Amino acid sequence: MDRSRLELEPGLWLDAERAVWLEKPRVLAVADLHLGYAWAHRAEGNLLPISAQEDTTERLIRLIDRYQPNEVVILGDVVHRAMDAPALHTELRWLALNVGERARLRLIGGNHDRQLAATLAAAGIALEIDEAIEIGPHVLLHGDERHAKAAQERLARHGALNGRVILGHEHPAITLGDGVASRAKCPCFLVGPGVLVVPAFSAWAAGTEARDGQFLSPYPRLAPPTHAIAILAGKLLPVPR
Amino acid sequence: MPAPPAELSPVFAWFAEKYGEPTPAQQAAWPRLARGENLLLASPTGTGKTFAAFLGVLDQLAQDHAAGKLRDTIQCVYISPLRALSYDLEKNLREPLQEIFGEKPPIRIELRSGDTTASQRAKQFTKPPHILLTTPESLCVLLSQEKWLAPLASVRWVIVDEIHALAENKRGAHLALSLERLAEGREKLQRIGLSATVSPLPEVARFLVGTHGECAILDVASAKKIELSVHTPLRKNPYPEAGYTGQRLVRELGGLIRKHQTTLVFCNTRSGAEATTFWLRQSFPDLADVIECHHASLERDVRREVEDRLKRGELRAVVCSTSLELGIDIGAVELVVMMSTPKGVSKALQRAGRAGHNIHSVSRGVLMATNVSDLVESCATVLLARTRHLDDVRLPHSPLDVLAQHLVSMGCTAYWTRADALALIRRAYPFHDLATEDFDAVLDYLAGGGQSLRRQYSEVFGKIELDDEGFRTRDGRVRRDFLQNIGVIPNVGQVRVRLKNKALGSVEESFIRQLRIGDVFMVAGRPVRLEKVSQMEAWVARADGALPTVPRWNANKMPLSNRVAQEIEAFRGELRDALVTGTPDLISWVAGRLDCGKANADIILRTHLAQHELSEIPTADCLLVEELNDKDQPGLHYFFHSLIGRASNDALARIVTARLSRLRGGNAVATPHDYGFVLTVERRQRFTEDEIPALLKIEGADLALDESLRQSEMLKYHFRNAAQTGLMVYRNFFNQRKSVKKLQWSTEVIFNVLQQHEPDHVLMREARRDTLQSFIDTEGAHAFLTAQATRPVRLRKLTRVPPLSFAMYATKIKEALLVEDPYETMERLYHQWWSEIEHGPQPARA
Repeated sequence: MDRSRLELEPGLWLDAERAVWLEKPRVLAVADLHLGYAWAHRAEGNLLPISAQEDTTERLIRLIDRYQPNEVVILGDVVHRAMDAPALHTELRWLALNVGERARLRLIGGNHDRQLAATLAAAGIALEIDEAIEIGPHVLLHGDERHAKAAQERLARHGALNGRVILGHEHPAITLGDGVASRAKCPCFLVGPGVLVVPAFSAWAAGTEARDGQFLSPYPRLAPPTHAIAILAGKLLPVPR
Repeated sequence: MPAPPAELSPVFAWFAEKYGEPTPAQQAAWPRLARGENLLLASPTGTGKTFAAFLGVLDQLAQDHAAGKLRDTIQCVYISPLRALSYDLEKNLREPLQEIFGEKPPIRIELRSGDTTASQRAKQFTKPPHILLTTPESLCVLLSQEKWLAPLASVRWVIVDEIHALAENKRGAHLALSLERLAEGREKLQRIGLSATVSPLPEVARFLVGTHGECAILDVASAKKIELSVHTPLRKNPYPEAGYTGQRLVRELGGLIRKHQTTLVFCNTRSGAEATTFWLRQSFPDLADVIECHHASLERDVRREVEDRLKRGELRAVVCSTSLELGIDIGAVELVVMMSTPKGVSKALQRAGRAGHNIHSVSRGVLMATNVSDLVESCATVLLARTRHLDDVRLPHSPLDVLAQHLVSMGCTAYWTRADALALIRRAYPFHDLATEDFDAVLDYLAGGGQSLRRQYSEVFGKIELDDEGFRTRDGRVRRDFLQNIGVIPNVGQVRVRLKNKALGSVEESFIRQLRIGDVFMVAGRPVRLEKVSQMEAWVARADGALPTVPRWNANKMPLSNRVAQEIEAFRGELRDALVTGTPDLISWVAGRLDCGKANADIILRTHLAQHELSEIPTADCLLVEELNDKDQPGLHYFFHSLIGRASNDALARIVTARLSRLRGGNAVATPHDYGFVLTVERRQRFTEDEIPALLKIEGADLALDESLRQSEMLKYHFRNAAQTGLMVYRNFFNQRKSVKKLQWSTEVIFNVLQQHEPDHVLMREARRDTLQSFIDTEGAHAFLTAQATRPVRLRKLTRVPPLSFAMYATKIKEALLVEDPYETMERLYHQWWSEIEHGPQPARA
């Protein structure tokens, strides 16, 4: 049995490579790329290694080649900091080029993407940034809105359609242990009534412990997750809460 | 050797008038120093080391002044690991200068540390002092600024105090590089090192003068009489029905405190110091006001007050961790008590040396043994101390994070060619075997990446500009940030504890997170109630009368020294032989062998007899492995009796665990201990005596160890330090005003990324080296495995924990039970165990 993929509900798949696959419309969604993470930190004086950066785009391309989607949606925090640096421009161009060759790339703006439009322009990339994208009964967004009211309305609307609010922003993770020696902090999906929280795609995300229940976004607060699906050794593992 | 003629030097004349005869240390040192020799002076505290080192310097400066030749530049730099030592020294040097020259002596002394204000620093630059008292970090800050090169070029003497406390860690490696930079390009820099009694002194001397220098060594250790004895509250009936040893310990300690004017009590941990202070005050309320606590996590002001009160003779006892081990002036201490063994002979001598009013009085130290293993260990320590068998000091080898920091520092003042920089670095003894490829790799890292990467991007945000010839440090923000982050001491997540507005000390974040508002814990031995917590601070109120939790600090515990381990093993072997050959009057035999008195001997003997009955006494000629199969427990425990100290057992345990996992699948938990290690497995992983040698073969041991360390907490801990020291992330990063929730990354993330993509990154290499060389003793494990190849193994299957395994077993349980006070847990278990033993097979009466 292929445990690297799991059909959460008909047509909605989770992939252990930290992606969501909407089968009917052929949409692949990932969250929180935080491109340029190391560069942003280096500009602050933290001499982080840049070896992992190419990895993000490469992993995404491999996913795209596997699924052959029509559209690829980034659920926000495309970049870590929209800085005016040639290195970041290069990364973004690389992303736009490689994804763009294969599918339509759509960007949702996250809290880290405030200046992203300007950076894209400076890099010569013609891409729109959306606040939210509706696909079938679902809505895809970042999840960083402040006001519970708007969130509530969205939950109600898409709940009525039997759809979900699919968001990123939380970088959810869950610590699994065998009670003896080993403990591992695993990125995970969080599933709640009408809500799906997607783990961060970026290798740099440390992950926030889901069991603490401290959510940044109003969505998981309004619709608390009932269970988590952890990613361990390339496989998906449903974990009861 | 006669002292220099008094008429010519007012300084020596002053000394002769004030103190009379010089101490042996002074007598031996002065002529050598007068001849310009580099000198390592090893002697206990209170033997006049300060004047041994400084009088010649003061004298020379005074003569210069008399001849009108005294220039306003820095001529002597004094470096110590603790600021407090510098404060004390300043006072001690001012005294002769003021008595000789009056209120404003022409020879000026200044302190320079993190505490020095901006205006003081400015003054020190415009009018440099003749003598600068500073720390390794502050010295490096000066060396990193071009404007200080001129004032430092005139330095003639450099004095390093408590050099033994620096040589064996990375702070010392850092200092060694600074010394070479200080000495660079000048004719003569006279180096003087002041050390406690450690071995081997030639290593420490090398550390002081570098690979190219000569150094005389003076070992005046015997100058001070140190008397050590072992005391234990375990009497004839060690564990009576009522009462816990913990309480009896406190009562005994109180008794000792009452009998002496001032007592200094050393505990091995900060928690221990807190708990002991608290319990002493509870048990002896009339002494509560004159018993204080002292450790590194208390605020400096709090500590200073304790030190001052101690000096003024206002306190009857101070309970400390290792904070008062070094030579801060604490006045006259009559007795030193060490709660449980100090884990090494050098430490025992160092601590005991803090007692005694002056060089002529005897320093008395008492080792208070809290359980039977402790008792044997303490006796062994005392025996070895009497015959001066010291522990070995080991220097770190080419720590790459320290190197990274210094290269940036060097690059601040000049453009360095690779060849020149490498040559200088290799002159520092800890770096004498630095490989060229490591040097190049560190430069690449600091430049922002390898050459191809740097060509790829116009801006890689490196710290240095690097080309084939050499390097220099980038200007502007890089330098400013760097100057704020010089040093080796890592920043652990600390929360400052405040009583109203007064800061008391700090506790670890992980401890505070476990508490709820209203919970009571202790600081400085006093119960306080948690009222409010923010990210970096916790506010408390006094909670006298409430029962507090002892805070835990995550400091690594000292492992047992090899010498003491060997001594204990020798004793066990001899006792086993004595038993087997039917030696009569075993109590007297033990008493004589350990020099411990008949009461102690009785307890020790009974324990070992019980061990002999239940299992066997583990000795050096066979490895004893005990399998504990308790039907009530889900798993099996194996006790490996490798008496090689916790650091070596840590390595050994990991090797065995890795192999067992491969052999049987699944996981295993190993708990290392000084006397061996415990392996906890599931029943299906049970193994036989025949299978043990395969777990212990020397071939492939390093691979197994490496595997086991890959995701270990210890490696991550060392990586965290390396990342800070090696300037990958700034220490202050963790103090930024981001909420913990938002701080969604940490050095753990960097570690994981590097583990996957760049496992050979210079800072990963440094983390592995540090892990293998500091808290894990790989060499010790190797030595054991090599010796074990020619020794038999014996597996004994037991249903009850035998006495000599008990310490290991209890450690394991102690680590799991965080809530209960460890003292309490130990006592409860000991009590249970003893009553089982007492009613079990009767040990043969001598």
